[in-house]
Amino acid sequence: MKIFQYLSSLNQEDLDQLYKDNWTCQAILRSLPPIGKQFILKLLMIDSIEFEQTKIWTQEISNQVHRETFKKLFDLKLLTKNKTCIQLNSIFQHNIKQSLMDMEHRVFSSDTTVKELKAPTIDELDQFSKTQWEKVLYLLSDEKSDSIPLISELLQSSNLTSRDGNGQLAITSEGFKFLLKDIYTQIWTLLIVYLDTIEKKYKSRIELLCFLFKLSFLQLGRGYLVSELTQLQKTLLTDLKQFGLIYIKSNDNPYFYPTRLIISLTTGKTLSLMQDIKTEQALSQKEQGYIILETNYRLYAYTSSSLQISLLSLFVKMLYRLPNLAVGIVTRESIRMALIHGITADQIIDFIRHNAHPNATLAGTPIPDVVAEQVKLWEAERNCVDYSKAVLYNSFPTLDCFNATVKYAKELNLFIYSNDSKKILVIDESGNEPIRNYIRKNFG
Amino acid sequence: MVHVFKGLFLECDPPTKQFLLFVSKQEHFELIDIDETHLFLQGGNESTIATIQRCIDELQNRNTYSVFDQDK
Amino acid sequence: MVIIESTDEEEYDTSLLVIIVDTNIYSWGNRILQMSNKTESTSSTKLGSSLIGFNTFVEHLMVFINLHLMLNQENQIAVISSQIGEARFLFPEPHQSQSTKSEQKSIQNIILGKLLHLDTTIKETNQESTSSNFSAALSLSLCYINRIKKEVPIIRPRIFVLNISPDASSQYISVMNCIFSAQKQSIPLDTCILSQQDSTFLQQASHLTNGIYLKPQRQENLSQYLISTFLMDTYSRKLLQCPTLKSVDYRATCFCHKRIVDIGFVCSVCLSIFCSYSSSCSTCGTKFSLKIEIPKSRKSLSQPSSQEQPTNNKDKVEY
Repeated sequence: MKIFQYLSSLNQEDLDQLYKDNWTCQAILRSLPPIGKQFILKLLMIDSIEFEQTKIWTQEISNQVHRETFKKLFDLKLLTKNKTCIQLNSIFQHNIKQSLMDMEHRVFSSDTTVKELKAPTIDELDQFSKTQWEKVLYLLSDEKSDSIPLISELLQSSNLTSRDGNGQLAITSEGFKFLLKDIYTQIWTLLIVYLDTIEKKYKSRIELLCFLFKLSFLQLGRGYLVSELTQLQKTLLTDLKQFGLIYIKSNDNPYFYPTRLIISLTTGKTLSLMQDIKTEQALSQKEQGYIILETNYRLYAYTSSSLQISLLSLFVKMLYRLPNLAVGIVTRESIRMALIHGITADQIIDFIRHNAHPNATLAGTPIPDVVAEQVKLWEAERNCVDYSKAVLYNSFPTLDCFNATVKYAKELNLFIYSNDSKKILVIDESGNEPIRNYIRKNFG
Repeated sequence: MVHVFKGLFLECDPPTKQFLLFVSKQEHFELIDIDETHLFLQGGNESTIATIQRCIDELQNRNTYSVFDQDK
Repeated sequence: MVIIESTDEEEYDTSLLVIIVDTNIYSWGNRILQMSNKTESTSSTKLGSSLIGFNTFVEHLMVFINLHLMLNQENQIAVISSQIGEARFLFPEPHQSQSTKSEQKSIQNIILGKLLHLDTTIKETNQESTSSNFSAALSLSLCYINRIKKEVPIIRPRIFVLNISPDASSQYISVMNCIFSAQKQSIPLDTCILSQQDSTFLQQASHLTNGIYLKPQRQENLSQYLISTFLMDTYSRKLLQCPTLKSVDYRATCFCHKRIVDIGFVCSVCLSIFCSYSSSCSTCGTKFSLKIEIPKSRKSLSQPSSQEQPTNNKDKVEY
C-alpha cells in the first residue's frame, strides 16, 4: 500500500513523532495486513521476545508470509531489534494500550443539534467528492477544463503533467499510469506531494499526517465543529475540500463534514459503513463496473461519463457513442499507442478487471484470456530487446587473468555476462572502477 | 592490454539480433557482436535507443496485417 | 466430518464477532465464595488457582471488545448473555442498528453499561435448574449471523464463548445441532473456559468447527490471553498456529435420560442414542422388530466393562 511505502521512507525521528499521536497509531494498526495485526497483538502485552521464538507463531507452510510481514513491520519501525530480541516500538505500544482503555472514542466533538435540513446527506457528500475528484482527473486528461491552482501545481510537481515547448500543459507517461490506478492510490500520490509542499511552507508534515489519520475516524454524515481544530488544521481544510476529502459549505461555516473518501483512505477500499441498508445497496450499484470485453476484442462500456470514456480511449479505439453506452475495439494500434505513452499491459488488464461489469464477473471472465494474452504479446513485441547499462572487457592477456576477473566480479555482485571462448566479460556500469583497479593491481 | 567499452548490454533473440546488426550499419552506431543472443552497444545514449526502438517498431509494423483497423 | 468449503482465500479480516457471555448468577456467586475461601486459607497460590470475579472479568472483556473494533473499521460485534432459563442480546438491542445514532454513546460504553447492570435484567423466578441456557444463546447467535451475512456478504463471522458453568446434559441435543449447523457454515466457535473443569460440549464444538479452545492458567492476565489468541480472524487462522485440543471427549448422551453413555443402542433410521432397549424409537417412531437378549445382571452403561456386548444396532425395521 502506498501509505506504507511513504511511511517507510520517513526517518526515525519523524516516525517517533508520528507515533506520539493516539489516533495515528490506531489508524496504522488497522491498515496493516491481517497477519501483521496478529503479530502486533501478540507483542502488545509483553516487553520483548526472542526473534527465534516467533517462528512458532506461523505454520510451516507460511514461512514466506512470516518473513514478509516481519520485514514490513521492521520497515515501519514498529518493531525494533535488540541483538536477538525484538520488541514493539514503546511509544506505539503505550498509545495503543491507552486507547484500549478509552471507551469514548471521540475525535472531535460532533454537533448534535444541527437541523437535518442544513446538513448535507450522505448521498450529497458522495456526489460532492465524486465530482470534485473527477475535476482533478479532468485536469490531467484535458487541460482546457477549469483549473484548480493547487491541484495543477501538485500535478506538475509530481511529474504527472508538464509544460511542453509551447507552454501548454501536457500529460506525461507517469500521468497515464496514474489515470489507470484506483482512486485511493491516486489520492495518496497527490497527498504525498502535497505533504512535501506543506513541509516547505509550515514545516509540519507530521501534523498534517496526524490530522488526516484523525479524520478517518470520523463518522460519515455527521458534522464536526471547526472551532476544535488547530490553526494549521483550519487552513488545511480548504485545501482538503479541493481534493474532495472534506465538505464545508463556506470558509467560515462552523461545521465540516468528512466524505467517504477520507474515511476509507487509510484502508484503501471503499468502506460499506453500515449506516443504512438502503443507502449501502444504492452505493454499490453506483460503484459497479461498466466494461464488457468480448473475445472478438470488442469493448462495450455502459457509462455516460466523459471521463471514463476518455480514459478508455487511451487504449481502445472508440467506435460509437450512445446515450448510455460506448462501443470500441481493442486493436493493435490502440494498444501500441498506449504502450508508447508508457502504460504497461498489466495496468491495462488490471484496469479492465477492476471496472468489469458485474454480469461479466459473475459469468466468470471479466477479461477473456485471449485478449489478455494478446495485449501482453503486443507489449512483448515492443520490448524484444533488453537493455542494461554495462561495461565490456575483452582482449584479456591470459586465460587466468580472465577467469580471476570473472570470479572477482561475481564476488562483488557486478557480474552480468561472460563469454569464455571470446574472453569477453560484461559487468554492471557501477563496477568499472573496482574491476579496473583489480586488473591493474593483479595483472598490470 | 584489456580493452574497456562503456555502453549498453543488449539481450534479444537471434533474428532481432541480426536485424540490429543490419540497422547499425544504416544508422551508424557501433555494435559489438558477443554471441547469438547478446550484443553490446557502444556509447549507448537516449537517442540511439529511441532509434533502435523506432526501427524495431517499423519492422514489426511491416509484418503485421490486421482487419480491425478499418472502420466499417 | 463434513466441512463445506468457505471463501476464506482473500486477504482481509472484516469479522463479525458474536460473544456469548455466561452470566449464570450461581456460577459467578460460587466464584466469589471460592475466592474468599482462598484468601482465608494460607496455601500458596498454584498456577491453576488464580480466579477473578465478575467485575474484573468485565474489565478484561471490554479491553478485548475495544481492540476487536479497533482492528478493522468494518468489524462488527454482538454480545449475548446466556443466563439461567433464557438468553438475551446485550448488544445490539433488537431495535437498534449496528451504528450509534447521533445522541448515543459509543458501542463500548453501551456494552459496558449493559454488562454492569445485568442484575437489573435477571428476573427472580422459580428456578428449577441452575444451568445457563447455552443452547438458546448459540441458536440466537447463529440466527444473528445468518441475518448479518445476508446484509454484508463479505463479512466473516465467528462465535466466541466465555464459559464458567458446567455443562447441562439436558441441552446436549440442541447444542450438537447448533454445532453442526455452525460447522456447515464454516463458523469457528472459540471457547475460553474460566471454570476449573473442562466442558465437553465446548471441546467438541471447538474441535468440530476448527475453533480455538483455551483454559487460561492465570485468570488475572485474562486480557493478554484474549488479545493474543482470540482476536485471530478467519483468514489468519490458516497461516498461523492456534491452540487446539489433542484429544476430545466425544462421548454422547442418551436421548431418554440425558446421561453420558459409552455403549448404547442406536436407532438406524434417525441415529438417536438410547441407553436401554425399547421397542420403538422415541424420536422418529420407528418400530423395532428385532428382539435383543439383554442379560439381567447388566452393569451401569456408563462404565465400559469386558462383559458388555458391543453396540447393538436395531437393524430390522418395518417398512
